[in-house]
Amino acid sequence: MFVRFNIISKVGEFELNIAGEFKDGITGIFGPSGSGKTTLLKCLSGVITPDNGKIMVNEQVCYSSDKEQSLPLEERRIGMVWQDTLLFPHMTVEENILYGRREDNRQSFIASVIDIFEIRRLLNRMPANLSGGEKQRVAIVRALLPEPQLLLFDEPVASLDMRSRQKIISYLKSVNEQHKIPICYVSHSVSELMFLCQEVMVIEDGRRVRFDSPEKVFINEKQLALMDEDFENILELPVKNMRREEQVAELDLGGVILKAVYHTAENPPLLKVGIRAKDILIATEKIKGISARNILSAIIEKVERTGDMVLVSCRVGERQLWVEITPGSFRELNLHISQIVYLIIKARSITVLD
Amino acid sequence: MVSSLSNPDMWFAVGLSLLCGLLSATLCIPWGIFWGWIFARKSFSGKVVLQTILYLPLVLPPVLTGYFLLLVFGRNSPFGSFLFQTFKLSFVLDWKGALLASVVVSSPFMIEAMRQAFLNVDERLEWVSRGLGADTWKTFAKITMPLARNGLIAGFFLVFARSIGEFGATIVLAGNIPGKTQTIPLAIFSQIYNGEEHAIWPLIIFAVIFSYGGLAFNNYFLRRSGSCGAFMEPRK
Repeated sequence: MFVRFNIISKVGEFELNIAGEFKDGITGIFGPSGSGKTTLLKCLSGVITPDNGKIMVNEQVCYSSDKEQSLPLEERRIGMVWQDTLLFPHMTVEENILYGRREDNRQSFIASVIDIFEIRRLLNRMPANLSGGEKQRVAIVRALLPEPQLLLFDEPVASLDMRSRQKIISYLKSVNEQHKIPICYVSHSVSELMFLCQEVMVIEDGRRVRFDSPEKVFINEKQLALMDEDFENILELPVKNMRREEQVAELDLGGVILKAVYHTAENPPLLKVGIRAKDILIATEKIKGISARNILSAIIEKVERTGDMVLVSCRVGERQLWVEITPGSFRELNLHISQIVYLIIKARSITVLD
Repeated sequence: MVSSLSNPDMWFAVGLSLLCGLLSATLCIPWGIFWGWIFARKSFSGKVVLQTILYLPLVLPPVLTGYFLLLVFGRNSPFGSFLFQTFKLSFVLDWKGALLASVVVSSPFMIEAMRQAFLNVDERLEWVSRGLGADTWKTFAKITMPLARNGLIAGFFLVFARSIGEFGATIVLAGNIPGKTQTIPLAIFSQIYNGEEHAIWPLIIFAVIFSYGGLAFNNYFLRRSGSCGAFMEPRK
């Protein structure tokens, strides 16, 4: 499975001139507003016909200026999910999701997708009566049912609250893993891209400026300066122990225990959690007499200065956590690479994402 | 007034006006859908010129429109004599002339109503539909048209209301023959002209009811289609 493109598309003054190759898995597209991310998705899906170049999906030529060939939208089998969901307002949820269903769709596939996204109870509702998160889940299911060769997402969760966001991005990851549908995901959010993607393409002014793993793209470059949201650590951790009387789950960071507030009757083997980088404190000495449940010994591995903040990467057990502090406290604490520090995290600051 | 109620010619005029109104509104639908869609969704050179030509009956003196129709459809014209010889179809001094005049004069209203209705349909919904595998026709039938439906109904009533008022083109093409081609406005005209003003009240009542009803329904469906009705404040 691959998507390969090399296109030039002019829209007014703006010119998109870009080449790339997406493989299985989730490829992120990142860049400032107006850099050409949406234009690229429109060219791939067939909404816009480029002026020059070639687009191949698997062995199928979707567009070729040499052969004067451009496959219409309906024959490309490329699904697209937009930020403002674009559900058909005159149809129920069920009619919406079955709209593009293939004749040979297995009932089990339909049922499994409906269940993964938890929309079964919404099937008879009209789109106007759904919340933002529900609408977006329905839009994603609708895009999945035709079993597309490729799925394009244009900032699908940007307008949602934190919880719905996290829910949807973890659904997406499992869809990609279970159904092997490659995904191209446009986002402004570094933590979403770090969590979801194997590779990230950075676009500026219609040109590709980087194409690499998210770690390399975001940590070694100045891309962090583009961040317009809270940086969040997202981790999937084995559950060591459920302390029901305290309503706390003990998670394994690799030899180090992390306590998170969580209560459930079940015993999940793994939990996905999010910790915002600015919710973690750094101390140079072990502190006593503090209400926080987690005081973890860590080693500083990397330091990134971006704009008005400093991001410190610390190794805890076998995991890496990013901590956001002000340049002032970074100076005063005199922090440096390889230093041993203590990370203080409230059990309440850890959000369980499932 | 009571004696005029028993006048069959008056009832004929009411009936013919109603028939012309309903038929011309119906006949304008496919025409309005076709051009409305073209003007809302396509760009091509000469679009403005074409649009102006098709909207011309809105502002042209209706008498002149009637005269043009007479030139094209009159039995002395090549087209008119062809229609008459082949289909025995004649518009001059015939109720069908009143219908043709109504259709031509009110057709721009339907084109404009449909253009607005299609513009109110988010084009991206059509992209989504096609991305889900529906071809252009299925997309039009399942997405575009159902979402433009209220605009279409609004246009239907506007064309109906305009047809009820049609006078100038009708009198030139169909003439003013009581019991044969006379519509409500023509009957009112004749009675004022002949000094029979006592007899026009029933006609006025019908004219007002039809016109008011047409406009009221037009407004109602315009509101439902998401557009602003003619006498309404924009929704905040």
